[in-house]
Amino acid sequence: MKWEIKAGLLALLLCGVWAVLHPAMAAEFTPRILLLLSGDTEVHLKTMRGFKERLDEYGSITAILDVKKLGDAERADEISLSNPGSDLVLAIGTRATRMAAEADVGIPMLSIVVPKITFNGLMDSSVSVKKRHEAGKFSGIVLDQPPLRRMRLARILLPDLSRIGLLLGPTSQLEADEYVSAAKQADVQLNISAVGSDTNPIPAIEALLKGNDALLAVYDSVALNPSTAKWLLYLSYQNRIPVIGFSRAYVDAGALAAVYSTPEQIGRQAAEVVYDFVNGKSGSLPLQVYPKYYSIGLNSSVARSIGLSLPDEESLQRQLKQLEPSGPVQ
Amino acid sequence: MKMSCQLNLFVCFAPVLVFLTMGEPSAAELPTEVDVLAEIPMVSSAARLPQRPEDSPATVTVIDRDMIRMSGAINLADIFRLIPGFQVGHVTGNKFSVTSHGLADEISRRLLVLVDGRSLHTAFNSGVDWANTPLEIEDIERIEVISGPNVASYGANAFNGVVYITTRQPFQDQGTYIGMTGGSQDTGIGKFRYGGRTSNFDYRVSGSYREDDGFDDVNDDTEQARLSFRGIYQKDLRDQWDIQLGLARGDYGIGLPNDRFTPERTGERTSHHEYLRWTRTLNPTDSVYVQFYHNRYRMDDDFTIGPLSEVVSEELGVPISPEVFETIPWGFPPNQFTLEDQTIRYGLDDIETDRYDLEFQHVLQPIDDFRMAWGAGLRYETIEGEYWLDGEEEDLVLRLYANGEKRFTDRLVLNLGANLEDNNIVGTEISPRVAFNYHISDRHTLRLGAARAYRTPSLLENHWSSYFDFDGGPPLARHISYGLDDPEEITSYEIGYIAKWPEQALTLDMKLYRERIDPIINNVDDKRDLTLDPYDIASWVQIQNNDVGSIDIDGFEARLVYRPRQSAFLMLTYSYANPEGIFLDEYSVFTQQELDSGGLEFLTFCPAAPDIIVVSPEEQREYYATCRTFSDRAPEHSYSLLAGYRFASGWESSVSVSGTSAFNWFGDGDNLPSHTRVDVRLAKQLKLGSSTAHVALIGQNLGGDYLEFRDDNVFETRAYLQFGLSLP
Repeated sequence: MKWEIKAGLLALLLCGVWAVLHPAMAAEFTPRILLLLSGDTEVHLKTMRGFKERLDEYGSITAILDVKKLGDAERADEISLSNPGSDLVLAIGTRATRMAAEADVGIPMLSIVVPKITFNGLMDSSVSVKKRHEAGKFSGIVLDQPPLRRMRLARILLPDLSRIGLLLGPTSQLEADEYVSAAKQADVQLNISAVGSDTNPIPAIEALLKGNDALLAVYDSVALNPSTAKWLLYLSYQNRIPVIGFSRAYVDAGALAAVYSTPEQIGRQAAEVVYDFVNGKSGSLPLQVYPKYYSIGLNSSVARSIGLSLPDEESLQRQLKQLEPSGPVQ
Repeated sequence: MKMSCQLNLFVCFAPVLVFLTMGEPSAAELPTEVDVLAEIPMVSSAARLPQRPEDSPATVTVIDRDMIRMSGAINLADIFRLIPGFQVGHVTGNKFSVTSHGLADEISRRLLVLVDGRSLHTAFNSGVDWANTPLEIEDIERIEVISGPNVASYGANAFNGVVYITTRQPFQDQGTYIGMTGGSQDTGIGKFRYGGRTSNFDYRVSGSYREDDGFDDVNDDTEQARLSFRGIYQKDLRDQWDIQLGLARGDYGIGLPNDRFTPERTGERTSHHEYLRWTRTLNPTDSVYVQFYHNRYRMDDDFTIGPLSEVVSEELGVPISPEVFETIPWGFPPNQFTLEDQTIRYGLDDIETDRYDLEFQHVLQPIDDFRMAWGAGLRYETIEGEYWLDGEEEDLVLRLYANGEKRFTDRLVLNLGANLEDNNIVGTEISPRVAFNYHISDRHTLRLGAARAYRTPSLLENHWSSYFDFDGGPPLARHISYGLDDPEEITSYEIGYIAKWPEQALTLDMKLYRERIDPIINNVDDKRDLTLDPYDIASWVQIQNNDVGSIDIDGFEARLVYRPRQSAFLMLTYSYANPEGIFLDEYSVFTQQELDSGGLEFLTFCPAAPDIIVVSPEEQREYYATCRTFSDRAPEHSYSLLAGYRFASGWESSVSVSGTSAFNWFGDGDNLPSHTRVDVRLAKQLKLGSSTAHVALIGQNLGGDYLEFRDDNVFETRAYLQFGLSLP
């Protein structure tokens, strides 16, 4: 046997040994992660489940997880984030994120399933939070879908789509810019109707229903909360203008379709970000991202009522993925 | 590339303007994930306000389309076996009784059934004809069942619960549907539906034709046609008009074998309705509607009894010739007389009722933590039937109601409501209800509720006047009401508990309740006024009585729902009821031997009524007021299970199990042993181009035979094959 071959085999063997030992070596530095849940509710628990399941796929000794659930009465100062010496805080939901943002204890924090405008609002209201974000010590995977993904879904479902309506209110108007640029990219004409906190949304919706081929729903505590949503969906039914919702609930209540990420899917993505972070592949947390994994909900009876034949979810996912080759959008 | 914002510059710049005028939204206004992912609230009927189940003042069980389909029900009434505390009886193959906590005969009087806000009740015994109603199962969107008294929201008939049926919006079912069902009991059902649209008007026309033979050895066949229409005109964004029309007509087998007083024959039943509701949406939380409807219900039945000589021969077991018959003395001295041999006309199922109902409602949310629904209604009702009543009877009912929901904190919700009702039968009554819902946490809610409610007797209950008329003799009373001054009164207390375990996809809804109905209205067999028939040939006379006794029911109801995915479903229900109390059943004559032997099982002498009544010195008969117990009038245990799974391949399978322990129906119903019924459904959905088709095989009662309502109604295993085709 030639010397080169022996050396090659030895190298191969060493690689194999390293590959086998590597997880065990990592275990010597097992990171401690604090999972801070905003509440004991379905969305938070499912997020945690998705996170744990993905982590389990990496191996059984990836991290030590501590779980804290914020009860109704607890205040920020009642939970110590630095105890018991966590290497990372995973803040699940808005309350936990707010607490994590306020407590600047030098631990990297990843916030998940928080609406983008709420996450950005936290950064805008605190210079230090913004700095931590830029330094890769405070980041998030937001709950919302990238507007472009939503526009593309509408385009695929409605081949004749040229005008899309958007109802914005006092909080959701913060998202206007991003929707405007997404519309340009998707080559759709976007018509925005805005309402203030004291305005009746009826005239605004009326305007949108008359001049558009579809409506995009964006959550707003005034313009489009669950009680106005029911009503908007009903009127859109009547006018045969399909609504692209932002949650499964919208599809169940009468939206034609929605692209959304389940809490499990966001938890899964968080596990991947956390894994890369603690394994040193990235020394800092990436900047805030949109969800990478998503589901598409379709309402076939709505489709029937507007004479539309729906493709199945799988082929929709495929088509959307082809348009998004570069992974999650920032 | 098109430029954004070219359509309407104003709306495009409006956000900027709003932004400038509003300033930066504060952190508190920014949404949380819980806000964004919230369910879109469903309209709930308990307080006439859209509410989450955990905020509702009463237990609400929702049966949705999936569950209706999975249940494999061919008859609408069978769906209610899935509701905890409910009992369903097939009185015959074409009459159904649906009741909560027993206490029902052929007609359930204490449950209110509404279809899109229109009552299905007729003045004929305040009952619902579940068979002859123009309503197709396929057109139902959801059924909400509120257990316990809900008079505070819905008025007098919502005494023991409300069944609120919401039909589908016409725009949900555009295109053509054709359905066929065939199977056991020579059942053949054909259905069609067409959903169309013209500019702002969506409409649906549905119809069906049905034939079946009913139970074996029972004269209860059905031959029925139904037609219904619903149109929604959306005038503009604020105003909506909902128009509904329906007609059902059928020939139904009725009567009993070898019974001269209710012989086997065919009766005709016709129902139709006209309904109009105008709704104006004022803003997302506030709306008003005005609704008007007319229901007509008519039964045609006509048969003869006689010749009387034959009737008397058979009843006495002695051959009596017409000549001898005419010499028989009737009545008691000194008022005796003889009758000519004759044939008399009679018609049990022969009546005509009309109901005109006008209702106004306003739902509003004046402040953030308070919402209410209030309204007023006016109802005019008539009933006519020559064998039932002395001419036409009518009633005018005025009602006012208000229900409010007040949130004190995130934890505590108060529901308060009352209904004031004024009618010509019992005057004015106020039915109040109060409930506190305390959210122990996001997942656990405790509810304490109390309600008092009144049920006004129906026009028939109040004016019943049914006689056999003879040529040359006084009429023989069959069923009479001397007028009921007092309504039935129910007082109910409940402790409810609702729990959710979202990660396990489980919800649990339980309640402990105590109900007292006092007084209770029922009929009493009373022969004291019987001056015509000393031979006991046709001598039952029922007197409608509004104080036959009182009943206390303590019970427990629970429902567990497991829905891990859209495609998988499991629901388990259990109900326990312990009715206590006695009611006056009859004034009877007993022989000395019967009294001495003490062999009078089931009968007790009523403690409150006089033991012995001597009617007249001539007659020298002693009548005893005898009572029976309520304890077997509702099943102690009842349970149900519904499980279904939809496979990605288009197959769907489901099983539905229901059962009750032994209990005793009133009226012609019998004391039935316990039973369990197992139904299964296997279906396959197919895509045929732009059409969808489904084929379903339904098996009902896969186990041994059981009895429905009466000893004669043997429910054997039944099988049906169903086919449906939806064309775009």
